[in-house]
Amino acid sequence: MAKGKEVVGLKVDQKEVIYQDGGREQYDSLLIASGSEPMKPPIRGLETVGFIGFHTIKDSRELSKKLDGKKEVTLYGGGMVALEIATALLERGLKVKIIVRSRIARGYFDEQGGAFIELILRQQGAEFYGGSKIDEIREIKGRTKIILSDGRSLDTDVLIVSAGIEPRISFLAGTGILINRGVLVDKQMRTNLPDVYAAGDVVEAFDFFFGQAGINAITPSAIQQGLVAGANMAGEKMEDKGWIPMNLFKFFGHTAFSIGLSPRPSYQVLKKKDDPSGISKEFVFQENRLAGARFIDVDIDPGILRYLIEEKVDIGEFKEELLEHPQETSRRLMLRSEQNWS
Amino acid sequence: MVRFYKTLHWKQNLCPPDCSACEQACAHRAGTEPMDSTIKMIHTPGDNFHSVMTCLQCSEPSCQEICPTGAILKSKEDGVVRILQTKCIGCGMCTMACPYGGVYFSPEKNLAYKCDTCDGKPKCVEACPIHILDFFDGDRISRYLSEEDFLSPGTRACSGCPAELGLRHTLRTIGRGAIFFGAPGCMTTLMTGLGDRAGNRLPYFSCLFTNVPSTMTGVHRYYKKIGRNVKLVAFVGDGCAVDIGFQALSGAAERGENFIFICYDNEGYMNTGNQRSSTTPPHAWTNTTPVGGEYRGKEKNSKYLPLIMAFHGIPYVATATVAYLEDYVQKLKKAMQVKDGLVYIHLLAPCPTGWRAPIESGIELSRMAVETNYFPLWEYERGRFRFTQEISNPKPISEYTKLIGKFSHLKKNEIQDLQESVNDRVNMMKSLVELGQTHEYKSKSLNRERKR
Repeated sequence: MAKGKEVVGLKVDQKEVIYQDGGREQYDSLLIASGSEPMKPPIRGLETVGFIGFHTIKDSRELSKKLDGKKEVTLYGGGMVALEIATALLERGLKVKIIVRSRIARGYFDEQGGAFIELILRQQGAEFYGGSKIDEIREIKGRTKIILSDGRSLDTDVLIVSAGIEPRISFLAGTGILINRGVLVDKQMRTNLPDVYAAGDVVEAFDFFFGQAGINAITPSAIQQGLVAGANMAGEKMEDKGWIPMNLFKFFGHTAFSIGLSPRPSYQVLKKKDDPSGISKEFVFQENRLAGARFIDVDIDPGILRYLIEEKVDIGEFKEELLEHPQETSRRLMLRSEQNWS
Repeated sequence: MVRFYKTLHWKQNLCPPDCSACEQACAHRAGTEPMDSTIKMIHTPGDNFHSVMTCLQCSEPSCQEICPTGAILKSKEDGVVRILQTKCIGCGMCTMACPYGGVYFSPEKNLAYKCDTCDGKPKCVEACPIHILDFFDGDRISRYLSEEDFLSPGTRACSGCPAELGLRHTLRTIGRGAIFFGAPGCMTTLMTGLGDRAGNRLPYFSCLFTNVPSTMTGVHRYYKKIGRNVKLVAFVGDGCAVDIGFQALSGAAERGENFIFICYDNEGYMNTGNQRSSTTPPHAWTNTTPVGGEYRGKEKNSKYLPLIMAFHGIPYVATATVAYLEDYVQKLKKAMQVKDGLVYIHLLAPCPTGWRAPIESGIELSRMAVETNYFPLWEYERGRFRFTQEISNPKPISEYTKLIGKFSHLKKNEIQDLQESVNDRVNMMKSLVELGQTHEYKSKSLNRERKR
C-alpha cells in the first residue's frame, strides 16, 4: 500500500499512475475514488474563511479547537451537512446563524418539511437569513464581517461555508477520461479508459429511476458503487442498480427521512400532515411502484422503503394502507416480496 | 466449507392476531425495566397478516459496511451482529442500509439498537406460546454432510432443479465408499457428465430402466465373493422405479437384497419431454395427457409406490422432499445402518420445467406439497409407520395447485376430486401410523434382523 502519496496524473498507455514526488507505479486495473471537495462559491474574501466545506474528522477537530471561548458560528448553506453542523453546534449551546440562498433542505424536503425543520432549529435559538447570498467577507479584529447581497450584514466568530461539493478531478486533466461534472461511468463503474474504474463522490453514475448520469454524493451510493467496481475489477460482471437520493436527518428528538423522487406530474402522491405536531408522511407512486417517500417524525424503517423502491415491489392495493400504517405495511410488503407470500 | 451459526428462525404469518409475547419478553430481556424491543410484531389486519420480524444476522451485513465509526461488528464466534453502543454516534446510516428492517433507531437515546440473540439464549423463543419462533442451529445439517461436494460444478440440470439438490445431498451424506447406480433420466445426465468428463467423483454404474436392482444384485454378489462389503445406492426417477423397473425392484425387495434404492419422483418422464408416468397425479397435464377438447389431463389415479414397498416387508421405507433436507439426511443416515435388506426412499422432486412452474419455486413446491398433505413425510421401520413431519392444519390442495402450470386448467370439481384423493391417502397413512402406536401391535416377524 502506498500511503501518504498524492497522485497527480495518469499515463493510460503505460498503465501507470504518477505521484507528486515524480515516482510512478504500474496498475492492472485502477479505481478512482478520489471523492469530492467543497464547492467554492464566488465570494470576495473567501480565502480568509477557515472552513470551506466540512468533510473530514480533521475539519471537526479543527472546528472544536477554534470554537474555544467563541460563542457565535455562522453557516453558509442549507443542505444536510450544514443542518447537521447547526444541530451539533446548537446542542453545544452555541449561537448559530444560517444563511441560505433559497431555503433549507431543498434537495430532500418540500417547503413544508423545510419550514418544520427551520421552526425547530429556531426554537433552539438558530437565526435564519433566507433568500440571500454572501457578497463579501472581511476579517476585522478577529471577527468575521459578512455582507449579504440584499444589503444586510452580520458579525460572527466563525464562518463555515458549506455550499455543496464537487468531484475531485483536477489530477485527471489531460488523461482523456470523460468528465462532465464528475467522472462518467457505465453501469459496471467503468470509465472510458481501459481498466480504469471510478466510484463514490467522484463519479457521475446512472440514477435508479431514469438512467441519467448525475452526482449523488452520499455514503449509501458510494458503498454500492464501490462494491460494483470491486467486483468488476476482480473479473466478475456486476451492474449497479443506480443511485437513489436518500437522507436521514435527526434533530432535537425529531427525525426527517427522505428517499427517492419528489412529486412530479403523472405520479400519484398520497400525503398526510398533522399541523400542530408537524408529523407528516408522503408517498410518491409511479403506477404500482413506490418511487419516493418523505417523513417527519414517523416511525419507519428507512431501509425497507429503500428495498421496496429498489426491488420494484408491487404496492398495488396497499397504497392507502401504506399511508395509514407506513411502518407495519412496508414491513409486511417487504416480507411478502422476500418470501413470495401471497 | 461454509459454517452456519445459530439463528433466530420463525414461521411466517402464523402468529395469533393479538399476541405480542416475544416483543414483551424482548423488552424485558435485561430485567424488569422495559427497553426497546428488538423483535417487531407485524399485524396488518387488512389482509389478515400476523407475523414477526427481526435481524437476520446476515453473513455480509450491510449495516456493518455502512457504519462510519465501525460500531457494528459481526462476531466470528457466534455470528451475531452487534452494535458497540460506545462507538455509535446515532447517525442512522445502518437503518438506511438494512433492507430487512433488522436495525432500529431510538430517538430518545440517539442510538441504534438491534437483536443480539440475548447472546445465545433468546428470551423471545422461550416466550413464544405457540413455538413458531426457534433458535435454529443451521450447522446441524452441515455436520452430517461430507466436506467434499461430489457432484461437479456446472450441472446439466435445468435451472432450479430440486432433484439436483437431492442428488447432491445424497452424495454428500453417503459419501465415499459407495457405488451409485442409475437408469436413463435427468440425474443420469448429471452423474455421467458430458463427453469424456464424468459429472461426479464417485463410482457410478449407468444401467437400463429394467435392470437397476438386478445389476446391483450382481455387483453386490461379486463384492461379497471377494470379501468386500460395499454400499450400493440407486438414484433413479419414477419412470424407472415405479413403471418400467418395478418388477426388478419388487424382486430385489423380496429377495432381501441389501442396498439403498432412492426414487426421485418428478411425476413423469421429464428427461424425454414430459410424458405421464404412473406417479403423475390425477388431472395433471402432461404431453401425453393433454388438456383441450374432451381431454382434461390425466384420468387415472397415481400409484403410491412407498406404501407398496413398505408392504414388501423390507426393513426401512421413507418419503422425503428437498424442502426438508435435514429430515431427508436423517432418513439417509438411518438407511445406511440397515444391513439386512432393501431400503426404499421416495424423494419428491418437483420439476419446475415440466410442471410449468417458476424456476425458483422448487423448494416452495416441495414444502407446499407437504403442508397440503399432498405428499406426507413418513418413515416405515420394521413394521411401524411414523410421520416425520406432523401437519396439524393442512392447507387446501388449491394452495399447491395454483403454483403449478400443469394444474392451471383445473375446475372446482377437479380440485375437489384431487383434494379427496389427497385426503384418502393421508387418512390411510394416519390409520397405519395409529396402528403402529397401539400396544397390541407388534410385528415380530418384521422386527427381527434377518440372517443373510
